[in-house]
Amino acid sequence: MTEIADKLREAIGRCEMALRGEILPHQINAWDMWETLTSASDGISEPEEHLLYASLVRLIVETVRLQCRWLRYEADELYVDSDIAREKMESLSMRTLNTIFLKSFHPLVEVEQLTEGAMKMGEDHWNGLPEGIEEGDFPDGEFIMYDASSAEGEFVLQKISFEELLDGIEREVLEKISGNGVELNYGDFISRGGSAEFAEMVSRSYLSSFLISQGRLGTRIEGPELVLFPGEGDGKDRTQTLAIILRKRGGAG
Amino acid sequence: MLSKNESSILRLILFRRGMRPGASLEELQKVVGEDVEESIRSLNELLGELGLEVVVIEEADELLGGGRKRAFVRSKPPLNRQEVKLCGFDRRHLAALAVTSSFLANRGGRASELEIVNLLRKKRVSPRKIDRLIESGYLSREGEMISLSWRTLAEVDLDQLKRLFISAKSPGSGD
Repeated sequence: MTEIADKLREAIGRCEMALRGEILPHQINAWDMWETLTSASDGISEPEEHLLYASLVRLIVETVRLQCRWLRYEADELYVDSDIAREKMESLSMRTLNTIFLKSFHPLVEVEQLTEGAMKMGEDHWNGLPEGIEEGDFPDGEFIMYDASSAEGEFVLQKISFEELLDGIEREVLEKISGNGVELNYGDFISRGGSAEFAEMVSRSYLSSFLISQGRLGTRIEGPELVLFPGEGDGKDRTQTLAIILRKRGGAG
Repeated sequence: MLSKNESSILRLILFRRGMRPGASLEELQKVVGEDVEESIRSLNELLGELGLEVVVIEEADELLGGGRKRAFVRSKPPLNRQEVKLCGFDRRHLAALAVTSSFLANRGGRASELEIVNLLRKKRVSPRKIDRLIESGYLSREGEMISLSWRTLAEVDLDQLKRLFISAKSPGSGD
């Protein structure tokens, strides 16, 4: 590394500091930079020195341009010192700042265009929507009521009742126990021996928990495992389903 | 009535092509020739009746300069609070823009990111809004420095902003 290259690098570093805003532009003495450049021009021999020389020329030009604009900016009648600006910003309320801003805010206006691709995407989305609900069919009340046998009802409500699902799970447990003649591992049962998807596993464990709390199934811890066995409950404390119908006051309901 | 050149300029500016709204002055010159600035001036007289105006700004850092000129159509009078609400502007986005643009306008267009983050925190605005403002073209980031970008130069009357900022009374200033 030569002495010339060092001097050029140092000058480049100073210019870059001003351009990055780490020092103010007028803290750079452009004439000193120019002196460095002219004194270096006679002794340049290495390709690296040529590269540094060219970089410094470009950076001096940018720094002088920055100094020009900075001077013009500081000479502006609306110039506010940096510290004063910060203090004032901190003292003004958000409401005042928003009001000031909105009085000088002129949003741009533009016209959006639809492309063929966007039209196709919109059409596909529209065609993919479930059928059966026509626009304007919704009743005025707060609740949308569906007839259980209607197409909409089939889409929104499952026909299978909760009790049927519970009975199905209970039947499955009992069949497996009678088939094997032994108690059933809880983990294996809810995961179907590891083949069930996560959603199905959650659903089976949710339903099993109802059967256990109703006494229709029992559980016991054996070593590290939890096992299921037929419960001793007589079904008297089974959950009862209560239908609640909401009617609008004075309405037909 | 708009002349052929004026209506052509208006269409080119209003219909969006590419990432940015508006049209570059070079594009407009290709269509209407050298007297594009005169056409924009006469177009502005007609658009004023609709509450719109065409502005030409330089797409560059206010201090470093050197960018291309681009024409945009914008609202001539500033929007009032009701209009801002109805136009669907995000309140928090506008608050972040109000703080950063007021600060940067009074700092010559550039300031360090750390300074802006501290200021936003003091004003209880999320500093993550800086990235959103950069994405939408209001600010630009160069290393650790944040500067005003093309969209702020096009949408915000910076002289008016500075004037209002200077004349705003701080609470407890007594004047």
